[in-house]
Formats: sequence, C-alpha cells, structure tokens
Amino acid sequence: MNWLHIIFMCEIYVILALSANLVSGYTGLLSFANAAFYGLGAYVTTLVMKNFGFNYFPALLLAIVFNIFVSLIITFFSVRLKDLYFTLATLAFQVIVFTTLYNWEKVTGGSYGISEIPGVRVFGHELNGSAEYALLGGCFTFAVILFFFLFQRTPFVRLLECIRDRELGAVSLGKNITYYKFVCNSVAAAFIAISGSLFAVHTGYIDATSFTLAESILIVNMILIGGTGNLIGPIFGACFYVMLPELMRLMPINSSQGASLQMIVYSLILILVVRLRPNGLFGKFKFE
Amino acid sequence: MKAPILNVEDLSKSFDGLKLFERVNISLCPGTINSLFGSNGSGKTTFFNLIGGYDKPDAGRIHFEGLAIKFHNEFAIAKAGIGRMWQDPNVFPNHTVMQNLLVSAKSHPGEYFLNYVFKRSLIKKREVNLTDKACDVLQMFRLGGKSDQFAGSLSLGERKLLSISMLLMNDARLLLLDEPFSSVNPDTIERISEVLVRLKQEGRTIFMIEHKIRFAEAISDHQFKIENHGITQLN
Repeated sequence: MNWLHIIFMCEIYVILALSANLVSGYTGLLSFANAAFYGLGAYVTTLVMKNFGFNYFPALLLAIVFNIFVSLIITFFSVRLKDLYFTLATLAFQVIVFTTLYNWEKVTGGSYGISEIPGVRVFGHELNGSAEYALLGGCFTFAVILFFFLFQRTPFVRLLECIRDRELGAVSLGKNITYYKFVCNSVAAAFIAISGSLFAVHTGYIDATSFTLAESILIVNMILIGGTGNLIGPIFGACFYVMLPELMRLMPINSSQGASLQMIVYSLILILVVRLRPNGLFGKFKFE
Repeated sequence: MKAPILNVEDLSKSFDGLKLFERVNISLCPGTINSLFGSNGSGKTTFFNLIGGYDKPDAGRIHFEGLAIKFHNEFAIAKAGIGRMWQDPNVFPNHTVMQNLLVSAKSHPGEYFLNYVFKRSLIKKREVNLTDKACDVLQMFRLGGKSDQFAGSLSLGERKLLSISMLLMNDARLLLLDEPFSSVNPDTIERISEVLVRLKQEGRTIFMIEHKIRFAEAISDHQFKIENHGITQLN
C-alpha cells in the first residue's frame, strides 16, 4: 500500500470536496458538474504543457482562467434555474464535457487519452516520486483550506448562507443573487482546476474515464456524508472516500469481489447517513 | 404639498384573461401610514408584487421618488428603497437576530468578493459601525435581549418585528408590509403599531395590507380598498 499516493489522492479530493461545498453547502446549489471542471483543469494543464512547452505553474494558471471562463458561461445559462433544474443543467454540462473529451481524438486523444505528461519543475528541480508530489499537493491543499477557513466567518459567506436558506428574503433586501452565484461557481471552478492539474502531472497519463458523471456523484457523496456548510465535513468525506477502498484491501477477499463490495459499502453508508444524519456527519445544512 | 413617494398610473393587470386591475391610479405621500383592504383574492398581494417589481403589469407605470420602476428587477427596486415584508416574515432562521440585521445592511463592502483583496480594513470598520446601528435598532424594537437568539426560534410576532427592523437596516424608505398584524396577539399588535408610528415620524412611508381593519385604521393616515378592479380611497 503506497500511503504517500493515498495522501496525495486525499489532498486532491479535499480540494474537490471543499470546492463543491462552496457551491452546494454555502449557496445550496447541487452541482453535478464538478468532475467536468476537474477534467477540464487536467486537460488544459496537460495540453498547454505538452503542446506549448509551458512549465506547470503557468499551465495551471491558464487552466484556472479557462475553468473560470467556462463556469461563467455555464452560470450565465443556469443562473435563473432553481433547485432540481439547476442540478439537471449541471448534469447536462457534465455529460457534454465527458463526451467531448472522450470523442475529440485529435485534441484529447479520445479513449486513448494523453500519456507522457511532463512533470513539475520547481526552481529547476523536477519533482519525482509520491513524496514530492504529496508535498506539492499538501501546499495547495493547505492554501485552499486556509482560504476557506479565513472566509467562512466573513459577511460574504454569511450572505451566501442567507441566500441558501431563503433566496426571496435576500432578494427583498436588495441582494443581487446572480452576482453571488457567479462568484461561487467561478471560485469553485478555479480551485477544481488545481485538483485536475495535480492529478494530471502526478499520474503522467489522463483519459476521459477519470472525469465521468460517476466521479461527480462521488464528490457529491463526499460532501453529503461529511456534511455541508462547514470545513470539517467535506475534508472528512473526501478522506473517508479515498481511504475506504484501501482499508477494504486489508480484508481477505479477491479484487473483483472487493470492487463489488466497495460499491455496496458506499451505498450502505450513504443510505445510513441520509436516514440517520440527514445533515451529514458534521454538516449544518440539509438538502431537501 | 410634498411630491408623492409612490405614484401608480393607469396600472392594469390580468391573469389568463381574468381582469384583476384596470387603470388603477394611486399616490402615497411620504411620511404617512397607508392601509390597503380588500377581500381574499382581490389582488392585494399582487398589487404589492407589482410595486416591488416581482410581477409585471399589462399596462401602466409606477414611479418611486420620481423614478420609473423597471419590472422583474426586484433586487434593484429593493436597493432603491422599497422594502418588502412578506406574510411569512423574510427572516433567516439559521442565523441569529444580530446576523439577520447585519446581513440586511445596504451596500456592505464585505459582501463583495474583491473587497477582501483591496478593502479589508473598510470591511472591518463597516462591520463595527453596522453592529452599533443594529444594537440601536434592536433597542427601538425591544428585541435587545434576543440578539444572540436564532431567528427561527422567535415567535411569529417577534419575527415580524425583526423583519421590519431588517428593512430599517436596509434603509428602506417605503415599507410594503403584508399583514403585519395577522396571527399575532394584541400585545404584539400594539408593539408593531408603536414601531410603525415611530417610523412614520422618522419620515418613512408605510403601505400595509391588513385584514384587522380596526387596528390598521387606528394608525393609518390613508385607507384604500380594492374593489371592482380598482383601488378607491376610503378617507
């Protein structure tokens, strides 16, 4: 068991879950487009590094800008949609992005994906091995957690929570709901780009099957189980979901049985949490 | 004579061919309390929705402080100074009374994302000023002891008072109140009445829908009634 790899994956999913929590937990919009932005972040970083010879950090910056741009377009079309209709719009976007990544062979490599992605160079030193990538991921994760930690007690988040709890009340106080939805979706998309880029440079190979609807559902599960509207819930949910399969490997069963059992365990946990703790284990807000 | 704060001209509205208003004209003077009566389904709430921009009339114009209201632009109308209290008071139940007041403040710099990069000190300063203002408002509404209580745990009467106080924090000059006296006890009605009279003395204009005519008449300067697809002034 490569614990450093597991730590790295925990870091990636913590960023993903915290970003999803910004949209779903603080603003109350259930989005199934997280894996789409994750994939776009990974592909843009990869293409810019491979095709234009960029270093990792400028490539990451471009991926962030690209994700923000795409999120602005998606939000423009979905901002007036409410509840289930917004969720359906994000689901449609997720399917469009996956289909494009899977079929646009000329650019994305289609089902073959893209391999030999260059590594990260920091001050002339190329990162090598899980330990160094875990450290890089740790720096980004720390920065993202710090951002949300500092942000969660601000008037901005206070207003987001009010919009989530009673949108009409916020509107009748003169709050421009559209602005806040744009900001939240953009910030979340920017952070998700970091996860995507880290995933690409660490694995050295990406294909569209890493960014499916199932991945988006997994991210939503993470925040549902951990709980939304705070920091601890998404962090716990992300670590729990990454570590659970690894812990199951310790059980005396073969890998094919393990894969099936994993899905059963995931589903059982989700059902139990939804029944017994609808706010999630550490959550403040319940989806209805 | 002061210019009207609200001027409704030739307003018409129908739903699926069913006529609700036809060429309605009404003006409200600033610093007055005005009541709107009418039977259930006569269109009182719809009329408020039209003033607040939540619905669009078939014809006619509405001017607030001389400026034409653009419909379906609710938040901008609220920002311009028309506050709305709904029948179910628009408080945020998972936040404390103080947080409800702070979130109601108009143009809080902390509510704009980029200000955290460029104007951090301004945000802190404004938050302190607003907390002081909120304390004063709570005293005025006799809710001072409840500032740390969650709004969802307040009684209906207290939530109505909180909702009106939030409009004050929002600097609303015209308050549209949908049944402020309904489902509350006589003591609370008296408290709300006192507050409304005080707001009137401060120069704010109150326009309220009410079924408890006796209580509304006691404090109203002008009374209106919706009947026969129009609005007539009773006094």
